[in-house]
Parts: sequence; structure tokens; C-alpha cells
Amino acid sequence: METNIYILVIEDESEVMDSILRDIEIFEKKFPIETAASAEEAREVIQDLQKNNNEVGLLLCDHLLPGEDGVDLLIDLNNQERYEGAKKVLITGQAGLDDTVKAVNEANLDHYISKPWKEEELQRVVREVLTDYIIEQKKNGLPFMDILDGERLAGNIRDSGSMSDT
Amino acid sequence: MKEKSPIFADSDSALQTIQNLILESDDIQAHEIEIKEGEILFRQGSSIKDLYLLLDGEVSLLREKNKQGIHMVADTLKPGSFFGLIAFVTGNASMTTVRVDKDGHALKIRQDEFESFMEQHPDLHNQLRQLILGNLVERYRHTIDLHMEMEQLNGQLKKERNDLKKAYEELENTQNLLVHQEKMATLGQLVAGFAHEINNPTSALMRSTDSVIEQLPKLFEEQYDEARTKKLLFRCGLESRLLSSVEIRERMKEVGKRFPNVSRTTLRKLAQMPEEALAKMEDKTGRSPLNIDDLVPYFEAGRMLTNINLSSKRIGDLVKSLKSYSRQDNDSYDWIDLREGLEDTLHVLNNRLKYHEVHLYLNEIPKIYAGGGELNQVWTNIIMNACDAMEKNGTLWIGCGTGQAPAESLAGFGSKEELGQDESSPEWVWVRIEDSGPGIDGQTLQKIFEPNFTTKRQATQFGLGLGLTLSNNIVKKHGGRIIADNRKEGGASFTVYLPKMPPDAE
Repeated sequence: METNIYILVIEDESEVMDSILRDIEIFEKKFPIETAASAEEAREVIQDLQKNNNEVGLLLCDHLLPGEDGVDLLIDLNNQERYEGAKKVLITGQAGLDDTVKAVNEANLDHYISKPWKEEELQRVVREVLTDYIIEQKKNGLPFMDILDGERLAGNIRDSGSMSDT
Repeated sequence: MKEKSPIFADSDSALQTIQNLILESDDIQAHEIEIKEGEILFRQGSSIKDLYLLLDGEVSLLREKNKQGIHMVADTLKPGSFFGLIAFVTGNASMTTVRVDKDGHALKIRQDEFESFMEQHPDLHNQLRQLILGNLVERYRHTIDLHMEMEQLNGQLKKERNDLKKAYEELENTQNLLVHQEKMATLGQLVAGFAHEINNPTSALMRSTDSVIEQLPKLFEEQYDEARTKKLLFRCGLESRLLSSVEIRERMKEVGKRFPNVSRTTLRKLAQMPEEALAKMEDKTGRSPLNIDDLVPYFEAGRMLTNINLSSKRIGDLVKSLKSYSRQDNDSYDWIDLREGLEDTLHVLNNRLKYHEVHLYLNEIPKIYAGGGELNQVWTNIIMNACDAMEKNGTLWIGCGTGQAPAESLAGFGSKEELGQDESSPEWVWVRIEDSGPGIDGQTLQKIFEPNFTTKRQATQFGLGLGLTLSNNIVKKHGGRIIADNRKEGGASFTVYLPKMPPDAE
């Protein structure tokens, strides 16, 4: 079975989740999206994905969640070898400076988006970090060229000197 | 006392010469008297008939300070000094009392025999004359010194008084500043929480609006047999409610079986449709993904308009609560129902209370004449303290009623009806706020309403520990009181008693 690269969105307010999904739907063709309303649920989803040998390419996470905080979840995942390479983006209105610094230093945070966000900004960030993921994980960039940053992927293919069919 | 310097170099030698003359002449010697320590030679106010010259020993000139006979030492005289001199020269009563401090001797010459005595002993006369002059000049100089010293002391006193005044003013300013800062810190927290609260519905609102603007034009393409389907889907969208992440995931699995060829994105949308809409979709589209994707936007449009409605309403409610909560200036009093203020406060603090349980036991209470804005500050302070003390997943119990508040904790009661009312003293109203935190330790409980400058909260929020002091002041101003205690089961318990009318009210 083909493995997929998933985007996992973690947000406990339904309306906000709904809005985020609508904005990043354009990526779902190549990056299926999963959702969770708490860190606990997120871990369950990740377990399921792991069973089917799927990857998590991007974690798009709010900070204020019931139970475990978003930043703590990201730090924990970053310490697991399997998810070290996953891209981590905080999308939040309530992370204080300390928590943000923690996320940058210990969770290797890739980007921070504050609420309310603009559609273009969110899409641009997702496109950018997913492109990074493809390049870093040395995936074949061809299938993703139309929805990610085609130029960068092309450049990478040229530089790495490898070209192959899907 | 400064050392007295000799006025004339001759003072000592004059005294010496006089001593010798006394030894030589019996007549002069007859005027020599012994003086004993403690002896009073003459009193202030008495008229003096004699002139004294101190030969050896020590005397003090004393001034009576008041009728109780307390004396102040005006001067201390050493050998070579005269006393009784001013009285002798002016004929006025003595200005001082003369007391002997050390045993010694003095020469005592009577006023009326002074002239003849001097004629008989011209040598003595010369010496005495020198000494008298010396004494007078010395006394005069002493007066000038005292005068200057007094000037200096006055100046110092004035400066100290000004310094004290300035320090007091600074203290008052600092106190005002601290109270102000405490208020600002509380306000800052409120605003931060409120801003976040507003952010969520605002985000949803903005995104939904953009989406609708995109989708709406498609609604205008009418193809008759599809019109009714579109209307149905639109209505279903309007009536839909948001599902949780877990619910969506499950439904996607179910619906995926019925619509195996659709994209994941479309599947997620189908998963949120009611059975009525799904049945219609199956019927009309023969499960072909292309047609499904044409129809789904109508459901989405309905759904988004509902989202817009709900989000707008939420914002409206929040703003209304905030206005009601902060109400007027703190000076305006009115007949208010405390329950409204409590609910406004809870609404405004919703963000802070998100992961805690709140149980309400709000019994009927009469309106009281009070400052709503001020009391909201009190509820806010107590509730915020509780939130700080509890980690996530804590519990708050809030109740109100008339008369006496229950001795037990509210958790023991199933409902506000079970709690009941104490009809015995209707002029009083109580509000109780309990939390499931660690409680307040004995030492702190003693001083809990005293100002306590601590940075007790997380790094992003801080107060100066004046919250309860201010709250206590507000409640006292209303003629009420706050009682801080611990629940038997653990956690803090605050009871606020308020009278129907504050003291001094018209």
C-alpha cells in the first residue's frame, strides 16, 4: 500500500478547525488531512497512521488545548526520531513568550502563525514547510510540483542529479 | 558646653592677685564664704543684696522652666566668675537661681558696703573692676553664640520638615501608583483573555465570509431539476451543527463506504451532512464524484452562513457582557441584581475558565443598592485567584442567597433548591465562591487582606498582590464584609456579605 504524507491539524475549537481546513484543502490532493481536538486525540491519530506506515509531514497545532499544551506535544514528538523531521507550525492566539521560546528551542518549531490569520499567509507557510519536508526527506519532488513550490523542487531535483518516475 | 576661653589674659592673674589679697587682709578674708554642693545661694526672682565672686568650686545658673520647679541650666560658672552681677548693676531681681555644683569658696560683698569697701581696698577694687568687665564681655559673647546656634537649629528644623513633607507626598504617590498598577494588571489580563475570545469567532467569521462570496454566484445558475436539490442541500447546511473531530473521523469511515470514489476533502464535507442530504446526493448523482462536487457547495454555503450567524452572535454577546461588566465609572451606584454581575463576569472570563468546571447555585436574591462595576472587580479578583491556584481541570462552585451563607461547602448540595434560603435576615445577601485548589495556608489566611507584593502568577501575567486588599475595601465601602476560609474538602472558600443599602446612602 502506498504510504501517504499526512497533515495533522490540532485545534479544539470546531469553528476554527473548520476554517483552517477550508484554507488548506488545496493541499489535500497530495497530503491527506487528519484532525484532532486535543493532544491526546492527536497521539491516537498518529498511532493509527503509524500502523499503516504513513508519515506525518506537517503538524499544524494550537497551543491552548484541554489537557496537555500544544507546545508540550510538539516538544515530545520532536524528541521521537520518527517525527523529528515532521514540520511543526504553531497557529495560536495564546502562547506567551516563554512557551514560544520553548517551542523554538526544544520543539524545533518551523513557523508561528498568530490568529486571526490570512488565507494567503497560511497557504504560503504550508506550501513552504511541505516543500522543505519533501526536499529534506529526499522524496521525489515531481508529483508535488503543482501544489508545492515548483521552482524550489525543480532546483532540488537538478542539484541532486536524480530523476525518476513515481 | 564649649570651653570658655579667657577674655583677658589677666583674668587668671587677677583672680590670683585677689586670692593673695584675701590671705593678706583679715578684713577681706571676713567676706570669704564657704559654699557646699547642692546649696542654693539665691533664687530666680529674688532681689539680691550681695555680689558674689567665685574663688574656687563650681556653680550653675538655673532658669525655672515652669511652675513644677523644673530647671534648665542656663550657664555653669567657673572660678573668676561673678554672679548676682546683673542684679547688682541694674538693681532688678535675679534672672536665675544659683546652685552650687562643687564645693568651694566665694567672696561675698554686700551692695551697700561695696563702695566703702572698695575705697578701703583700692588694689582689690582694680582687680574686681577687671574681672567685672571680663565677665560682662564673656556673657555678651555667650549670648551671641547661643543666638547663632539657635539660627542654625532653626534652619535644620525647617529643612527636615520639608524633607518629611516631600517623603510623605512620595509615599502617597507610590501608593496611588501601586493601586493603579494592580488595576491595570487585572485589566490587562481581562483584555488579553477577551482578545483571544474575540479572535476565535473573528477568524471563523472572516474565513466563512470569503468562502461564501466565492460560492454564492454558483447558486444563481439554475437548472430546473437540480434547483430543488440545491435548495434542500442549502437548507440542510443552514441547519447543520459542527461535529467534533472524533465524530467527523467516524462518519467519514461510514460515508466513505457509500461514496467510495470521492476525494478525501469531499468525503469530509459529506460526513457533516445529515442523512436527508446524503440520501438526496446518492439519488441525484449516482455517486459520481464529478456531480457531487458540483452540489456540495450548496450545502457548504448554508453551513457557512450559519457559522457567520453564530460567530457574530458570539461576538455580540461578548461585547455586551464586557460593556455590562465594566459598566459605568466606579462611582455610580444603583439597584442591581448581583446574579447578573456574576454571569457577566463569568462570560467575560470564559477564556480563563475554559478547562474548569463551573457549578452555579444562584438562588433568588433581592436587588441591592450597590456599585455594579466595583463588585464585578471583586468577583473577578476572587475567581482569577481561584483559577491561578487550580491547575487545569479544576472546579468552581458559585452560589448566592439571602441571610446566612451555608457553613458547609456548596459541593455537598445537588442544586440551588437543595441549598435553600435562610429567611431570617433578608437585609443581607451573600455570594460564595469556592475552588478545588490547594487552599490557603494558616499564616497567609491571617493576613490575606493585607497588601502583599508578590509576583505570584505566570511570567506573562503578574499582579502586585493588592487584589484582595482592593476587594476588601470595596466590600467594606458597601457596608459588607468578606470572609476567607478553606473548604473541609480542600480548596479556598470566599463569602461576601452585602447589605441591601450601603452606609451613608441617601
